[in-house]
Amino acid sequence: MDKKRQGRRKELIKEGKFGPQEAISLITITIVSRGVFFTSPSSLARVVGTATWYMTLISAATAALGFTFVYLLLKRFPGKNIVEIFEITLGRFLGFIFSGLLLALFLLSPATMLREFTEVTKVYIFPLSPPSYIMGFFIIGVILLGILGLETQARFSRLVAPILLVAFVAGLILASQNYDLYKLTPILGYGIKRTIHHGLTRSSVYGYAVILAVIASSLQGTKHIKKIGYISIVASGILVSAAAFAFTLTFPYFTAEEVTSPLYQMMALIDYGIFFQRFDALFFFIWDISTLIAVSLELYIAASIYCKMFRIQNIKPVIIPFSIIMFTIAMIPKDFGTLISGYVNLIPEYGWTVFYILPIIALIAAKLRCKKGEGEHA
Amino acid sequence: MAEFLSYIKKFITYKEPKDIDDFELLESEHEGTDQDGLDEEFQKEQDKKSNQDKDKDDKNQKKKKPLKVDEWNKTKNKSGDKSPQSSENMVDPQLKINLERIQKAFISDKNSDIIIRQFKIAQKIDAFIVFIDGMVDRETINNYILRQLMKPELLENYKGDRLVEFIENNVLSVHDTKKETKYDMIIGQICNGLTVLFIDGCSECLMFETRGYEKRGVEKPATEAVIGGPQEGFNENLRTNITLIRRIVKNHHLVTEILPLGKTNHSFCAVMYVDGISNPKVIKEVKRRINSHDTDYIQSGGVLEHLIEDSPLMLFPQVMRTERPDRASSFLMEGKVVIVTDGAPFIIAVPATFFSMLQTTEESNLKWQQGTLLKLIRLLGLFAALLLPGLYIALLLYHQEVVPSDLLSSIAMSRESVPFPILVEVILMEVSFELIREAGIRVAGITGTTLGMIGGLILGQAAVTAGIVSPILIIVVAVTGLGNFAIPNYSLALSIRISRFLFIVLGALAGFYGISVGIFVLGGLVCSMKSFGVPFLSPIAPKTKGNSGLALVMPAFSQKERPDYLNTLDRKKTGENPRGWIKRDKGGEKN
Repeated sequence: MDKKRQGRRKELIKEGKFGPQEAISLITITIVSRGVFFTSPSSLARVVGTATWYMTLISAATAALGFTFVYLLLKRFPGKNIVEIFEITLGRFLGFIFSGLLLALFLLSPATMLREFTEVTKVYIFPLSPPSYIMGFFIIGVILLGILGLETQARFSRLVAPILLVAFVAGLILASQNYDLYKLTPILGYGIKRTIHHGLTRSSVYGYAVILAVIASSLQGTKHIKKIGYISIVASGILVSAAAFAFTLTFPYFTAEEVTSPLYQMMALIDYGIFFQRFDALFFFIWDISTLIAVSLELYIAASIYCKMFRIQNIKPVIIPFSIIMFTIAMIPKDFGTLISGYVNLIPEYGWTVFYILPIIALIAAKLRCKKGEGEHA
Repeated sequence: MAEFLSYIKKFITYKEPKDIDDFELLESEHEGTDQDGLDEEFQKEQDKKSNQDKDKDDKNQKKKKPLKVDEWNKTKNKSGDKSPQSSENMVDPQLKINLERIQKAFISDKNSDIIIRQFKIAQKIDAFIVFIDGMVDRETINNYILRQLMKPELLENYKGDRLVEFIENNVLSVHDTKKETKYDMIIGQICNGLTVLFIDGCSECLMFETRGYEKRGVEKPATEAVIGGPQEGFNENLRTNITLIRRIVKNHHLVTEILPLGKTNHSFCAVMYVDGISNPKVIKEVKRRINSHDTDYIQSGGVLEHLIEDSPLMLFPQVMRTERPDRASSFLMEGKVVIVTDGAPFIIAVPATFFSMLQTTEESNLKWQQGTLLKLIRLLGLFAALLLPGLYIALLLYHQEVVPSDLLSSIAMSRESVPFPILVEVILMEVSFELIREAGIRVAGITGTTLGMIGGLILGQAAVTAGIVSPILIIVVAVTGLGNFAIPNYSLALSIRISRFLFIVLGALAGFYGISVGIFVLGGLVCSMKSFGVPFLSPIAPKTKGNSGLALVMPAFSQKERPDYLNTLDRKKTGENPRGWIKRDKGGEKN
């Protein structure tokens, strides 16, 4: 896109401004809730056995490397978001397709998370409630936060982040009564090669840091984006690894892969006498609020990409239709088994193609076509 | 109701958004640097904006169709009637015309309060004074106005020009006088208790400060009691309230701007701020909101609050109200803007944040550890007031596994004879408690307190004996009520009371899941709120520098800066070493 066309572009949606602390809270909560709370830990136990806790660190390191390319791309086009950059570097048509792929991923991701949450909630808390009843409550919250906007979501996550962190750490400490060191063995799991392989491919869990590229204009410059991205990946890596370490210590690896939600189960096993037991229901608060934040953010990002692709200036009317689409996608899997085998593992395993490969192609195209941004305040 | 329906309609239907610039108090480029000249720059910016608006208006006017002659005349006459500069609105040199206008304006043939006293100045020049009976101090009028003006030798040194000025400077011994020519101002001031003198042949009149109506004295604050602090509260008089603040803030930069309130009521409010500390953008925004309202009558500060707050549909208050002059003074010194309304024993302080509503002056008068304890108890009270009944329902309906079996069996036994479902039981008790509280407030004095206590005790006991509610629910409702009383801001406490019912319903519908969705929704709504451009949950969300905010009370010597979110012109509250008696070397070590 030449400079003339760039100048003619309509002003895009106003998403507000927020600081690094808010952004770090948003991204970290999104990654941790996806990587820890649901079936993800048992899936990891299934593929790498006892090596989950350090396999996830390999994933985090891979994601940090992938994010470097995203950062380099953003650095080349200061003040632009990834949808605009795709268009500038690859042209309107190809850029549109790339943005469309990103949109599809961000629409599929909250839908699977919503269904996963619903199914796990059904298993542990509301066995008799229909999924649509559980989803209904959830979607009301998601729609409202979507309409209130990104700035509000960022502020809310900053508000609850310390509480969630304290509760999360307290949960892990309280669960230590069931830890047995011998359960860490065999320390190499199913073999180092397998661990590294899965560590590299499942890095997409941390790929949600790419959200920063979509909301780049709401953050305070590329330097901040770099800081936010790396801190979020490192913080979530530590938290996910700590949780994986804790459940490896709690459950033998052959049992861990059978448990629907190992972390929830860990909290249910806490027992310090008659008045201090069964913390699972209390843990439900942090589980639920984190998931609400993650799904709201991902849905908002999908709507935001859509608005940016089609030059729509007001995101609010898009939120409700997108929520309905999300609900519809979430209802597609026939049962929990289909959901886990067909959908839930799709993004952790193949998401990296969209999260990192597309920005790398755009970066190469920008280098080859000598495309560059107009300066820090362009 | 209609407004609510239109809001729902707006929510469902789509309209192309208007390009409205919401007021936001963003950090300026001068953040942390010398702030001199910010005012001028801001003024220039505003001028530029208003010029742009003017240009826009001009363009719009150009597009308008030309008016027919008749229409033009009508428009001209209409606007002529209202214009403040029209001859109708100006004092006439002929006394008779002025007299007729005043009589007409105050409907003096029916209105027995209005006193128009005609007399001759020095037995020569016709004049009259006008005032409202009961609003003025009669002694001032009789002894220092009428007596002086009627002296025969009064005009001995008068040289024949500018009679009003001569009388003002040489005759009247009243401390505050003002010349005025516009009727709308004159009428407004008469309504406020001033006396106005009209003189034949003069095209201006003289207004005297003669206010002398009955008012309540300075008493103890009724709703913000503290143990270790000043014990005086505001009353309903604007001047007294301003004085109470000025008596504490003895700063020559403290500015009081009087602004009119109400189109037909002629009441006033005072906007107070410390020049050089408060952000000029906030001051300008406060004045803009007050000046731009279009209402006949503003009953009190509460009504003004409706008119000036950012999001009137939100449940939570977005301005801070206090009846304590010491609190108002600390707001001023923090950099906030204070609005004092005539007729209200509360002042309004803006911008307000959620955490400032949980503070009282008690903390600053105590040691910081004690203050922190009080603040933590208050937070606990807030939590109990908001969530306790909802959690109780959720626990008993969905999460019995969390309750220890002994406790669960005792609860089950106590509920054995209760015929209602738990939701009905809780709502029944909550509504009864709200009734007792409301009745206790409405019945004056000691009877109200007794009614509250007796009502609570007897009703609770009777309800348990009759088997309508379980004893444990009485404890839950009582703790909830106590928690609500611990919230220092009445308006916030009321919002929490309303929200509690939402959590009761959510707890009954979906247990902890429903409550967590409720927390998410309510938290989101609160996070989206702003008070005069400042996010409501500052300094936590968004995180800003300084001030512990949530739970900790820091000792006075470590509170070196004013709240960052207020973007004050002068950031520092103290010097580098507030406890100057402890000498420090360069490394900061104590000597």
